[in-house]
Amino acid sequence: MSIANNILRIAAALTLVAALAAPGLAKEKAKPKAKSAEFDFKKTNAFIREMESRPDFPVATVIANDYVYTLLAMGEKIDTGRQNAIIVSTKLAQQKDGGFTPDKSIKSSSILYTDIALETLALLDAGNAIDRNKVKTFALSLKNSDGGFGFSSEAKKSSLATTYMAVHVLKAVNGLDAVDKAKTLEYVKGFAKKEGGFGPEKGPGRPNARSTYMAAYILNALFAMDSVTAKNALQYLETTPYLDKKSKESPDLDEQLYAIRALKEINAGNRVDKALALNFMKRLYIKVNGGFGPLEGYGSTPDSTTTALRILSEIGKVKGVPVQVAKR
Amino acid sequence: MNFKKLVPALALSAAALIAVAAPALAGRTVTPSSYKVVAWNDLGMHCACPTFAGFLLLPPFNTVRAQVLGFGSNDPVIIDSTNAGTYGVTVSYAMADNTETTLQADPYFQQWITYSPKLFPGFVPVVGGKVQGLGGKGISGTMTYDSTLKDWTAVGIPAYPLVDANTAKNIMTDPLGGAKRNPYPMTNVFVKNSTGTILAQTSTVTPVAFGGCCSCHLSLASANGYPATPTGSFAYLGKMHGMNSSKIDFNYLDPTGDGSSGPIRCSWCHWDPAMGESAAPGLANVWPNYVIMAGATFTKADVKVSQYSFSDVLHRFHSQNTKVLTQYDANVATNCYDCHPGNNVNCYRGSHKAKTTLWCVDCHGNLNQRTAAGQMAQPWKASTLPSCTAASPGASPAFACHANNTVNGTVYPTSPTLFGKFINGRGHKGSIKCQTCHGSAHAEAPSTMTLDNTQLSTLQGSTSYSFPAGKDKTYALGVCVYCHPTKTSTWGVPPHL
Repeated sequence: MSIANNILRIAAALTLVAALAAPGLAKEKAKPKAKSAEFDFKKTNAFIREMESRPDFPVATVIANDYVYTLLAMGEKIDTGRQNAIIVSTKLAQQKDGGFTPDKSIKSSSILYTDIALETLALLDAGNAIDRNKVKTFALSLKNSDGGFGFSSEAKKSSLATTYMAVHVLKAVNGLDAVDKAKTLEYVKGFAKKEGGFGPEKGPGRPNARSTYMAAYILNALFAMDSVTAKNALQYLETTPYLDKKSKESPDLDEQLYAIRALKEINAGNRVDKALALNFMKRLYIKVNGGFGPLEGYGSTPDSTTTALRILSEIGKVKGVPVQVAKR
Repeated sequence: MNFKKLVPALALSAAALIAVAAPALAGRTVTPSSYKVVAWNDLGMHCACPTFAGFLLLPPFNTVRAQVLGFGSNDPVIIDSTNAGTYGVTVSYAMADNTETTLQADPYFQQWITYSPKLFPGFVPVVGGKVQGLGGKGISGTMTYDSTLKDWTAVGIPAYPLVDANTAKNIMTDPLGGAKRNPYPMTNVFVKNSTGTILAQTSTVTPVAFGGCCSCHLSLASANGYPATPTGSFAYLGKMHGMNSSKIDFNYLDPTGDGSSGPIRCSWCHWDPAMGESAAPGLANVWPNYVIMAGATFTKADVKVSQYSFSDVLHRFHSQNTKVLTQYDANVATNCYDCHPGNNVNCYRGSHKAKTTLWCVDCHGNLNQRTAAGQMAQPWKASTLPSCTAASPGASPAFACHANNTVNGTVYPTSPTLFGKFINGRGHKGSIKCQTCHGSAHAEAPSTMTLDNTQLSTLQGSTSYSFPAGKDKTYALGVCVYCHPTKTSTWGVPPHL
């Protein structure tokens, strides 16, 4: 390794140490605390803060994101030291190619963890702490000839989910101009289903709320949402347990979130059944620790608790709603 | 020599002498006047599947172990197969919550009864009206002494999570939409004399639960044009399997030649020591006349024994597949409960969980670390398991392990060579299993689940016992007088060496 490289590394390390020590790097995030008759958010707060006691805090890209989003959604304060630790840890997850990894042990970056890392930084007002041009370069490197985007340099195949993440990331770093709009739209429309929504796979198969949201987001981001697509998507969403009270299908936490977001993307936010969503969240709430489970009858996890808080944010049931920067 | 270094050295030397002498403890001939028994489940949780018609992931297969102590003098006698014969005692077990009637009437277990002979040719699941497990044990029977592991064992009890008449026990969600079930059936363990009189007894949890597989795979099937049912899921799994390098869509495998596809057992082709096998047998050796059904795009030449263990392909696929990561869980490498039982059931519920934010991956490594360290190429090998003193190879624990053991103020180094891997490890003069005092792995005392603590609460429940501040009867067995009649009735940390 060259001396110049070593000097650069030392300089980078010193910068990170300074970042950890500098109280001014991150502004303390304090919002009005959430109050709810249905949920004991003090317990939820304690549940999420359990991870603070880990010596390897914030552990991983996803866990850092869960921690930040959930606490801010509840209007809780994240102290400057932990904010800085998260920012530094997230920065360290950025690889030479500009993408981010799930944790420090992995060196292969992907669009998934890049999307998540960008949201975390944006929530902490630290979006400029990383090299955004490199992020743009990375996302564009995943562009395929079919108009979709792949997962990583190793997993190049396009999918609706990875295309959504790439568009989401590119929008965040002002890189949408580099998207081949016509091709990407054609690729995304291939996921439309006869039921009206979009599915995760082309060809046969049922639509779901997640894919419907992702497709709708891409169409909006590329200014290509049309009334027929929106109408069809609504037609599908009306059959899901998130709008249809008589549906025999069991609701799912992630799908609940994406159903709400899909409705908003197709300009039908007024159709969100907030009472239905709130009742579902009540059924997922685990009183003993304040967390939320992924399915009824399941125990709580940090990931599902964060998703529940995202849903409560969407329906206005938590007062400390953070700015919705990303939508994973 | 520095005194601080001398103490542990002397302790180790003494321990070595004691360990050499320990076998003699089991050979005493004074007939005990009373007995005590402590039992546990070997792993703290076993998985079983709700359906068996398509393929077998894990069968009903639970293992209960126990240590029996005989009392006639100050120090107890370890009861083994030799002196049990001399004293005329037997060790037996009987499940309390699973009965022949409830088990055989359960629709999911009925599938096991129907399909298990196809999954395990030669196996008869019900003999003389009684359910038999793969190891020949039923839901009650005698325990046999394992002279290698030094405990009494009942291997392969066909314990199954049933809908219990006591609805309070039914806490496990059925992913197929049925009624909730009881994942913590209890098993009673008895020491009896030659006339059948019970000399000692205890109860332990025999945990068994459905994993989380269905919660993703049913919607995966639906999203790909298949019914959101176990059958639809099996069909799509087969298709996905056919798209990998093996080319084998197992929907087209008819093992028995009866004209219908399945059921298949993954470990026919993927080596799985969890099934007690040291090598995959290969389909042709299990069902020589198997048929590849019309429409298949593979031939018998493609049906080979995989070089990869079942654990390897299952874990590696899920942690590396972009569909899993982007559509189901970006954090699957550390979210063990996505697949392992966590649906209101907890595999991991012991004292580690209660006292720290220690998570599965701190001891075992996350899936990326486990893959990188090659752990899953040798699944279930002791070399890949964590011990009390160190995490598994490749793991990067965020917390320190137990490097030493303090007894009455003296710090002793703990020795991995003496204790082994907790599961099957022994200490306290080399005679007592770690799990005898500490409870089942993953449910170590005091457990966060009350039922796990029932046994120790009973054993240490005498009002004459006292506990220091912060400890109580749910803690690991530590009241000396429980085993040694002339010693203290105050709970403490016994010598581990």
